[in-house]
Amino acid sequence: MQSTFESDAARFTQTFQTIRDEVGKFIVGQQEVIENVLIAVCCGGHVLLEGVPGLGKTAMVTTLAKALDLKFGRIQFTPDLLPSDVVGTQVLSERDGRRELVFQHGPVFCNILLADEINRATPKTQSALLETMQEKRVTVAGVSHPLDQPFFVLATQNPIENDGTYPLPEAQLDRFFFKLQVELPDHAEFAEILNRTGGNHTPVIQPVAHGGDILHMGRTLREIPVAKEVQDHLIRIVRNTHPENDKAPDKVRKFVRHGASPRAAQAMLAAGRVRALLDGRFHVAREDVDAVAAAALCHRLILSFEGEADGIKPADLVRSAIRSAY
Amino acid sequence: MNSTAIEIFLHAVRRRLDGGARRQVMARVLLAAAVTAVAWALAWRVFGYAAPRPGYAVVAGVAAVVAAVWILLDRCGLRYAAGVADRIFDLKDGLGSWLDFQSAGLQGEIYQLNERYLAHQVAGLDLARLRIPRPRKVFVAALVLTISALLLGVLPHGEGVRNRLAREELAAQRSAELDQQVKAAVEEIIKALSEDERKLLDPGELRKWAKEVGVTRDARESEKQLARLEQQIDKAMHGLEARQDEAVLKLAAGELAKSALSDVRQLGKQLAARNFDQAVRDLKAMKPAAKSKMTPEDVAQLRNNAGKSRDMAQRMADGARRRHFGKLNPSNKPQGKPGDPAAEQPQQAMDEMLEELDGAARELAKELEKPGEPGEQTGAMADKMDGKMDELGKRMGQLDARQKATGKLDALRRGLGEAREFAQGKTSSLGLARSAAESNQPGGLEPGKGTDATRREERDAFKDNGNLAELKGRQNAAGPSSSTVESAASGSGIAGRANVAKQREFKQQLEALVHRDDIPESLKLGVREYFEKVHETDGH
Repeated sequence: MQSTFESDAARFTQTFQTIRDEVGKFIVGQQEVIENVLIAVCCGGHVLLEGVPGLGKTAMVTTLAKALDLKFGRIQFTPDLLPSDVVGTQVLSERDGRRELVFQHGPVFCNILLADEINRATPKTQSALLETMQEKRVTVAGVSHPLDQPFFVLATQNPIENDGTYPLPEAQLDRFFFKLQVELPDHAEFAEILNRTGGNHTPVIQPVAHGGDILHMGRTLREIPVAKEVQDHLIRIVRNTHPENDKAPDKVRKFVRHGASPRAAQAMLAAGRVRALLDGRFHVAREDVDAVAAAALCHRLILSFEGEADGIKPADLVRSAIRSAY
Repeated sequence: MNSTAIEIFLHAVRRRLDGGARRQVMARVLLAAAVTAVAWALAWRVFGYAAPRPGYAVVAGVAAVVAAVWILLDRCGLRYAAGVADRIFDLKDGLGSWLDFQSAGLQGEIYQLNERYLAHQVAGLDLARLRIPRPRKVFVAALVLTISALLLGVLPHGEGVRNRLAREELAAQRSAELDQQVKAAVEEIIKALSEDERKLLDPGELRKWAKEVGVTRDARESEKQLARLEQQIDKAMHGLEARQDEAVLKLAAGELAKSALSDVRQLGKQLAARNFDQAVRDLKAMKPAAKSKMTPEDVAQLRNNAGKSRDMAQRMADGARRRHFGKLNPSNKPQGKPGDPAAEQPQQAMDEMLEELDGAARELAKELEKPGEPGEQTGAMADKMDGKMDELGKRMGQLDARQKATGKLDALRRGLGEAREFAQGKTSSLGLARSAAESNQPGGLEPGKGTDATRREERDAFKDNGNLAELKGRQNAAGPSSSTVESAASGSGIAGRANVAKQREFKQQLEALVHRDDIPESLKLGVREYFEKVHETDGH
């Protein structure tokens, strides 16, 4: 007879796989990205997807929204976008002969928000998302408006078109659970993309889960225990990204100006728990932590001038930090 | 239930790891011990020695102790075993986490679930997958080295070392014999010491000297011991010397020899020959012994002895005076040296004693010249004279004891000379005790022992009478040697003094002949060639 948690765990795995399979009906390849996006969603985190145009970033997010049967919102970020265009604003409204200021909800009032090309908006507009992402509420004119649960921001950005873009501030980046690189599909995947999208019949995405499922998954995964040894390993990895740490690898000391925050450690732990559950385990292993480290840490490392000049890839630095943690 | 299964598995892993660690440790220790043993044995071999067998036991013992301690300290803990098992069986930190939860005492549904899941996982695991490396190469290397070390250990000593050890053994044997004989000789001397001699030579001191000669394997040390003993004997002999007394008595003997009285001359002869023992007896015979009631024969005897003793005393005193003729302080007393037994009690100088004896003799003679029978006064004077003569006799007895003690020490010292040669290996027999015993004999060897018959042979020019050096050496042994082959037209080929002289004479004659002008050149050439050949032979 299955225990309560065992059935919760089984349900978690099944739901996760169902969503993944449903998204996979439309999105060809990108298995790792899809899985990581789903991990972040389960953990209640936001994801920044980075990739050149046309790789299916936006399609992935919309497909996920459909599969989750959640309220979906999309903002196409442009330089002239204003914060009020994001969070909403007060408008003068006449009701029963009386005029009053009424808060008109912005597009953030949804469950899944697609912030497309987020780096094209000005920092002011980008910052409008800060409270939304962290506190999951909007404050306008001194009045806070909570967002529906669950709430995720899935943002995209183009790494090559830098003209007219505004790099995300560190505080903003830190609020993203994962930053995922969407890579070019291989030959077979290319062919499959063409086959699926070139005809009259495109795959129909059915909602396979809803918000309550996601919230329940979040509660379930937080039950997974972590051994002190594994936790120490996680902490060592995060601390090894800091150049001032004595045990940090030489590369980190040389090329990193500022390391990852405790929020990164929280993200790694939560993501590690998801991976443990997906693997059918009821404890987190060091390999779970290692597997999610790059996604959780790369966008949180601020490179030094030498690092920028030498074109150092943060993923290499994270690998060094992991090696040093053993 | 689940936890028991996990624990059993974990302990099995630890045992397996410990077994592997034990093998590693044993291989490494064995290798280290083998390397040590080889190096150690090689070091002995380099110096020519065979490696001592106990060394192997020491190396093996130390290796065993080190291995035991290492194995004990190197036992892996459960956490280490869990880490290894997690890695090898791909348990993804399952065992490590389980141990952590257990030690933290965490309980609950999730932990039970985790435990059940882990127990299920480990139940299907085959421990054989946990491969423990077998250090075969290390074992083989250690085995080869161990065999090499043992082989090095069986090799005997090198030739040089064998010779040296043989020399040391011989030196030890000789030293032991020396030790034994020195002690025996000293005991022999002590046994033969008279009461007077014992006052001069302390037996305890003699035994102490003998004790300093110990058994040693070093021939040089043995020689040094003997030299030290010889120095002690020399010092003691020096302390026994009574030169001033002997000098006075020698002068006195010279004067006594001029006497018209045969007894006095006889005493002089004994003194001159330093035969003090007999001299004391002669002196005693001349004592003018007085009795309370004397017969006419006694009186005549008294007068006769008084006359002899008067002449003897006067002459001896004259002799003593001759010694101090021209000296400012004729009564210089002999200064004893520290440690000199004779100097411990200050003695009256011999010349003073003789002066007093002369005085007493003169008084007695004057008394006897008085008319009438000798009275009490004469008896008192005769007693005084007797007393003085007793003193002189006693002094001579002491000199006799000194002389005998010196003789004994001298015999021992001479024996030590022979002993040193024995220690050096120049002679093969040692008769130290015998020579010490002989010193106590009046002369000659012990009954039944004669001198070497070869020494009684008459001189033979061709045999060189012992001047021929005969070199004996061990075959193939290192050491200086010389041999000369004399070519000769006839004879034994052994060069002796006579035929060398003859050859030299013949050579001179022929060389003179060669230089003569009237000799034909062809004849000269023949002679020259002859000598050139002779020289060539000498040169080789």
